[in-house]
Amino acid sequence: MSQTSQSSTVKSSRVLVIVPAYNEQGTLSRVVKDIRTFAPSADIVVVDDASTDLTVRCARHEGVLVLDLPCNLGVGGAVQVGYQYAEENGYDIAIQFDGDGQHRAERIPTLLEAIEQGADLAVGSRMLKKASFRFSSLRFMGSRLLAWITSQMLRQPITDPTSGFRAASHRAIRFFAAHYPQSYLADTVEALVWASKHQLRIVEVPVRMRQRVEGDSATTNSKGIWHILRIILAILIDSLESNFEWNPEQGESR
Amino acid sequence: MILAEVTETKITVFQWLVPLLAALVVIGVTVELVRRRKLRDEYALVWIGASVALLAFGVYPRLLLLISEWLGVYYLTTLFLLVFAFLCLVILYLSTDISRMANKQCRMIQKISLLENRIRQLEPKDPGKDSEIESEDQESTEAEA
Repeated sequence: MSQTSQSSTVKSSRVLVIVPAYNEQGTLSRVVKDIRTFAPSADIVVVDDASTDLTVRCARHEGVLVLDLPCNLGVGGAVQVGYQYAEENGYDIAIQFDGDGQHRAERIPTLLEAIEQGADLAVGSRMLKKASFRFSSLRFMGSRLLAWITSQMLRQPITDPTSGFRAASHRAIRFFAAHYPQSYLADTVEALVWASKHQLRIVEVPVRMRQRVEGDSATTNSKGIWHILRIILAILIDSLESNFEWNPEQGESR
Repeated sequence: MILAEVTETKITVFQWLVPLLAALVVIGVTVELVRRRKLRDEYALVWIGASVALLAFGVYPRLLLLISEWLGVYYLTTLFLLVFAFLCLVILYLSTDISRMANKQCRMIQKISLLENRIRQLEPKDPGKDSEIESEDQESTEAEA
């Protein structure tokens, strides 16, 4: 796969939007339309994580590419297959965009810009500006704690480590296609830790998000604090792990 | 001193017959499972190794007494300790194996979905099929353009 120049402009970059979806038939068409409005030149791939509803049919109806996993892998596995597709097809930038409708595509250009300016991973953060997204107080404290621990591990301030709204450079695409955390709930935070350990440059970009309209969020209030403890445990275990064999400048990572 | 005590102790039938029988049963079951292709040889090796250890205790029962003396615990306790340690090792080994398999399985599922997508794109447009596939084909031509 040819190494494409990082300094090309947004318009000449090939952009893939990866939409992991699990039982999102109710929101998916709106999400696709939203992305098409704000990133008309980007290709969209919906990764269906073995949904039990009509998510696949719905995505095909919208005319987007669909990768339908034969078995449920969890968000991590679904996102990774999107990165694998991006790597195979030589995309310059990949964007993770949840299928549940909580992300706003209007911020995609800002994420792209951050990548163009040399970041490997641009994370949309709900916390950088006055947040329109409300958590319950216990969950809020938990997420502050998680953000603090993540910042310590990454040796850079991170305000919203669980955000799944991200853009990845070509280097990050290659890395994530080969190595992406599969853990339940913790995949977004772990991906940050892994990326940082392997010399990928991470920046945060302010975004706003919507409350989920439909479906059941994995981080609803009552269970929220337990989920955060699980994530903290997961990244602490991560800190024991040795690095992958990975040369950020080379074409081959395996 | 300890050795003298151990050699003087009378070995009961229980103490040599049980490990011997257990070893024979484990070997028997392992061989049968391998024969029926229900057990891969790497696991078979683990269990045959375990039964050989058991066999040693059956052939020389004083070995267990000796260990008990060293550890300063009762014969039965030693037996439990040994079995427990062995089972822990087996479970740990199986956990690593499951992790490895889960990784492989994940790779395979991902590869299948990527390949399936490629097949869809390569398949000629067939008007006999339903409309979902048509819209998929439109997308693929769009992507090529």
